[in-house]
Formats: sequence, C-alpha cells, structure tokens
Amino acid sequence: MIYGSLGDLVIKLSLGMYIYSIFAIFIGIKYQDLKFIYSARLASYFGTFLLLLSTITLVLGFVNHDYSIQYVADHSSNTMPYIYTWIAFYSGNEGSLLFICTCLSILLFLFIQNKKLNDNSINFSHLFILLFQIFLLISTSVLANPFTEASNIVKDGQGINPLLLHFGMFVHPPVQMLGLTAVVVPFSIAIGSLCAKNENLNLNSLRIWALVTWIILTTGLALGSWWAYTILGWGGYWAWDPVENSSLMPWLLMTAFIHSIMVQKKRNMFKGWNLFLIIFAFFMAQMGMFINRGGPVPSVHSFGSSSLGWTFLLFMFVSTIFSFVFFIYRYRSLASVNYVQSVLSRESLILVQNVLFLSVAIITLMGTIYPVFTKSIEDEQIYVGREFYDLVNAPILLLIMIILSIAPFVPWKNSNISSYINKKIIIFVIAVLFAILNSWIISGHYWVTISFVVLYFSSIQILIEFYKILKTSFNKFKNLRNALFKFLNILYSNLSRYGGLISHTGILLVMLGIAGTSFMGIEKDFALKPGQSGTLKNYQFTYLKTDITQKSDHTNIKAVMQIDKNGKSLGEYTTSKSYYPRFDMNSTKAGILNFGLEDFYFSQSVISDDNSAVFEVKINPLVSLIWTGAFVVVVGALISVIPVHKKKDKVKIK
Amino acid sequence: MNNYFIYLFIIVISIAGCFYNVDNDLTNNEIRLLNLEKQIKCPICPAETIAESNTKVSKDLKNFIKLKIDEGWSDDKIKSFLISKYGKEILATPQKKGSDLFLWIIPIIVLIFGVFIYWSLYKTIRFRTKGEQN
Repeated sequence: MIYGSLGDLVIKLSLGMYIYSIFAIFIGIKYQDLKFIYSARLASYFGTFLLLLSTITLVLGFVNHDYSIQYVADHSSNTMPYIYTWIAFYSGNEGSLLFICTCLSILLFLFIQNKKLNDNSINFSHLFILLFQIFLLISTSVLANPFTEASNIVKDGQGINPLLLHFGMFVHPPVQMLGLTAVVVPFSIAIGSLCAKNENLNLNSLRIWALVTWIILTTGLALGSWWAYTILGWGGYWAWDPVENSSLMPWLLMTAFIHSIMVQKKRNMFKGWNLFLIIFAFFMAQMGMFINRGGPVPSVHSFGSSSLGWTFLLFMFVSTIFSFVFFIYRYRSLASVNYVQSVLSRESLILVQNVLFLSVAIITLMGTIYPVFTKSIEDEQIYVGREFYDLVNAPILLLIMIILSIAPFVPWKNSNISSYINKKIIIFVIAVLFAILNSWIISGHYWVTISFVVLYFSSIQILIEFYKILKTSFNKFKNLRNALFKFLNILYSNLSRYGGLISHTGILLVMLGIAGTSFMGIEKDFALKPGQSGTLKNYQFTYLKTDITQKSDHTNIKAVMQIDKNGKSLGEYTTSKSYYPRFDMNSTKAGILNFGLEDFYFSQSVISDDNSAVFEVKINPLVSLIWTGAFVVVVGALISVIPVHKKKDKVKIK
Repeated sequence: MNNYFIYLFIIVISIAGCFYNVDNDLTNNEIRLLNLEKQIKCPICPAETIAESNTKVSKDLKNFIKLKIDEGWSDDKIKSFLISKYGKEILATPQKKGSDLFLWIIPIIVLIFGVFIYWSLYKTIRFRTKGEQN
C-alpha cells in the first residue's frame, strides 16, 4: 500500500537533505560563505520536516493495520488495543531507530534556529550533529528500514510484546531513547567550539543543552524504574541489568559534567576535564545504544539480537578515537589561569564528586561487559548481578551524597577547615538528633538513619540560606510587600543555584527511598488455598478466589485478596497475570496499596488447578519517596534551566 | 576544644544508639532463603534471579533451597551443589574466588586510579599556573 513506499521515499529524501547540508556547511565554513551555511540550515530544517513526515507515515501504517509493511506485521496485530497502535511504532528495532532520528532532527532544529550565521562554533557543532544524524539515517534507511515490504502479506500481525502494553510504554522508552540520543548535542557543542577555536566551549549554550539532556535522562530513569515496579511483577525498581546500566552510565557522566561546567563558568577552570567528561558521556550513550540493539550481553529489555549493534560499536570506536585524538591535540589551549587552592573548596569537592561519579560509571561498565570477556576466554557464560553492584557502588554513591550535603555550602576558592567545622558542627548535631528521632519513630535501619542525617544536614543548610535572604530583604525594606518582592528578586537572580538545591533535596529523598526499601523492606512467599490467610508484619490478607477470563490473545487470571491492616479491613484488592500464548510470555499486574510512604505489594506467581496459589508479598517502606524525589529533582533542574536576564544591580548576600 | 568533645560524644552515642536490630518478623532461615534466592539465577531467563522470576523452574529451585536450608545445609554447600549441577552460570554474581576474583578487584583499581586523577588534576593545575604567574 501507499504508506510503505511513501515512507521509504521520504526517509531517503531526508538522508539526501542531510548529506547536502553537511557538504554545504563544510564549504560554508571553509570559504566563510554565509550563503552556504544558510542553505545548510534550511536543508536541515527541511530534513526535520521530512523525518516527521515519515514518522507520521509509519504511525498511520500502524493505525490502519497496513501489513504490507513487514515491520507493522511484526509489531502489531488486529487485536491489540487501538490506543497502542499509535505508539507501537517505537517498540521494535527499526521503528525506534526512526524515532531517534526524528528526535535528533528536532533537537538539531531547536539548536540551530535563531543562531547567528557567522558563529563558527555553532556551525561546527551543527556539522558534528549532522555526522551522527547521517550515521543514524544510513542505519535506518539501509540496514534496518522500518518500511521494508513484506514478502507475503498476512491477515493479522504478530502483535506486540505484552510487557509493553502498559501506560509506562507511552512515556518511558521514548524518553529514554531521546535522552541517550540527546547526549550528542552537548558533545557536538563542546567539540565544535573547540574546532572553531572557541576555548570557552560556548559555555552558556553547552550548559543549557547539557542540563536539558540530563533532565531527559533523569526522567527516563525515573519512569523506567516506576514501570519496572508496577509491571514486571517482581516488586523491585532497579535490577542492575545491562540495559539499565547502559542508561545509568551516561546519566552518571552527565551528572558529573553539569557540575564540572559550573566550575568552568565560575572559576574558568577544568576545561580539559569537562571535554574529557563529555566525550566519555557520549561514548557511554553510544555504548547504551549498542547494548540495546543486540549487543552481546543478555538482558531482559533488549530489542532482540540484531547485527545493527556492531555498526553502532564501530561508529562508537571511530567517534571516540577521533574525539580523544583531537582532545589531546588541543589540550594545551585548554589550560587555565586559576587553580585549585584548597582541598576544602567548592571546586575541589566538585572534582572529588566527578571522580567518584566517573568511578561508579567505569565500575558499572566493567561489570556489564565482564561476562563478555570471560565468555571469550573461558567459554563459560557467567552473570554479574546486583550483589556486585550493591556491594561496590552503594558505598561510593553514599560518599557522593555526603559530599552533596557539604559542597554547595562551601565557598569557592578557599576555606579554612577548622573554622568550617566550627560553623557547621551545630547544624550537623541537630541533623543527627532529628534523624535519630525520625528513625526511631519509623523504627528504621541504621542506613536509613544515615540517609536521614545527610538529608537533614543538607536541608537545614538550605533553610538557613533562605532565611538569610529573607532577613536581608526585610532589613532593606520595612514594607512587607517590597521585602517579599526583593526576596523573590534575589531568588530569581540566582535561579540556577536554587534550582540545583531543590534537585539536591530531591536526590536525597530518592536515596532515602532506596535505603528504606533495601534495608527495611520485607518479602515472603505465601502458598495459599482459597479461603486461607497469611500475616506479614501488621498486615493480614485472605485469598478469596480466582477469576479466569479468556481473551482473544491472552488468558487473564485474577486473584482477589481481602486485606486488613492492624485488624482494620481495607477491602478487596486484585493482582492479575496474563498469559500470551503467542509470545509464551506472562505479564503480571501486581496489587499495590499505597499508605503514604509505605507500599503493600503482592503478586501471584503460580496458580495450580485446585486454585491454590503462591503469592509474593512485600512491604516496601519509603518506596514512594523514590518517585516523589525524582519528580523534585526534575522540577529543580527545570528551574535552573530557566534563562535569567540579569539586571545590572547584582545583589550580594552575606 | 572542649565543645568538640561534647559534640563528638553526642554523635557517637546517637549513632551507636541506632544500631539496634530491626524486628522484621522473619525467621533466620527465611532471611537466608531470601538472600540465597537473590544470588541464584533462573536458568531459563535472560537476566533474572529466582527471586524475581516467576517461572516454574525458579519456583522449584526456591523449594529445593528451602528444603536444604531446613535440612541444615550451609549456604556454601547449597551453592556449590547447584554449581556442580548447572555450572557457574547458575550464580547471579560470580564468587569472590578463582579467576572471578578479578571482577572484585576492578573497583579497587578504579578507585586508586580515581585518587590518582584527583591528585594529578589538583597538582598540575596548581603547578603549571603558578609557573605561568611567575
């Protein structure tokens, strides 16, 4: 039908557009001819339009069940819910490639629009983004074309992986893919500015794009863990699976990067280090794409084995080697006039934090690819599971959190250790006392107490800072309205800092949630017959009955539980499990009861013929803090991205 | 200086105070079972432990481990029995011995390297710029 050939044509046209664009920009830079640069930009705009068009074509192909396209036949079926046909196009290898091409083209559009034509660092950045875009597009249109015609047209398609039939599917995969792809933008800005001999690395633009990328990556991680928690039926949110690791590693490096460019902004230092971090982050992002697309590591999430992974690996090596050679070649020009003056200064602590983040990323990378090495040496498949990562990464991450509660309140340049301790010890003691009181109320584990200490230590300092600003504004203006206006004005003039502080509080909440579920969570399996009941802590539950419904493509088994807490009845709740014979796959929907911070979680695993069933029952304390915290992190980061038009009269806060 | 000692005293006492055991209603054997479940991989899933996976094999393995714990086998004995039966791929994470010790040494190497990076950045930036200023 029409969709296949139209989409194929459009995608190849867009490839042509981008190839023209890259040549035009090359000529434009070489001869300093703005006409060529202008036409390159127009071609890129048009490429964005064409890619959007081909995405729409694919979506329409899905919605209209056009099984003459092989990809549609493989990833949708007549019985799948209508709403999912709109998004099924990114559920497979080929479609997701088209999706990331389109996303990148939109990012490129946003990046180059309204930029000065004669700004060479922008032009070089444009060139590097185009290189990556062309690589992706060649992969899409030649190696894994979603519009390939089906050899024989079927009446009904294969359908979609049942685990994807969930609301999480609407949000998590696209955000995650967008995040991994978006890393190319800050990378290209940094390398491009260096090519244009702009040693400042085009800092403002770089910072904003790095933050935007980071926000997308953070959102992707948070949504992914939420999805895992609600749909995968094992009651956890993070399993240190290779694909999860591959999305975590770029996040770790981007986190390091957005902090270290702050040092460059304030103190004009660490340029070489920043460049190293962003090159490495881009490397990790490509590593993530490689592992996703049929890399050698077994994982629950990957797109199935495709040879495309190796193409990504090749591109990754070429781009990384090129970047590092270029980096070494230009290293001397990145020297700084300032230097780290004291161990206890903000730049020094940020450097420590950077190194720790880098260590976590490298350790995670090593753990992820270790099985590949042993397989090639010993010819024995082994796995590196969470035991390794928990034992090794958790202490380093805790150390990072401790630094987080100290660093933002240490001055730049220099500070005296003994006077620092003098100033902060009271706050620290108050934080410890609060934490112990708090932990005592919820009868917390000592790691939870330590998390509380870090949270309070940081929060009290933040509150003191706000109090000081409030005090200065009230000292200046006696009138309440004016003083409040002044207060908001001060906050506004330093949004990036206060946004950052909000994010920090959020990440500490996440940490508290993780500590709570890891060290205070209880889980137990219960084998129950209908009518029997079990008890876990202060919850009693009675297994009432099972409802089995036969749908066209799956069998749904629903178990009904009567749940009491502290002897009080809470009503009936269900957990269901659907079996999809076509995929030989189960999708579990757990019953989750939320009580403020604590979750009561139950899911069924095995149901025998006499309706007796095994239930996994868990109590997850503080678990909702993970997603609340992640939300706070994203809000804080969004606040710090807001561009501030600084007024001339800068306000100094004592 | 006296003040410091008072603060330190408060901190030490309070931290020591929170090292009490949390009553979580599980018996010792149940905790052992939970821990072992997280260390044994489901033989037919791509990357899930038997604690996470819902397959029948995992349930059988769980029951087997429970039985052996009740019979009084030690964790190591259960693990080595499973390794002899399924091979090393039954473990979710390699043990800290033999050739797999290398995996556990990697983090130490990385951290030492990290300290090195910190010092080299700290120092070179310092010296070079001081030289330039002179």
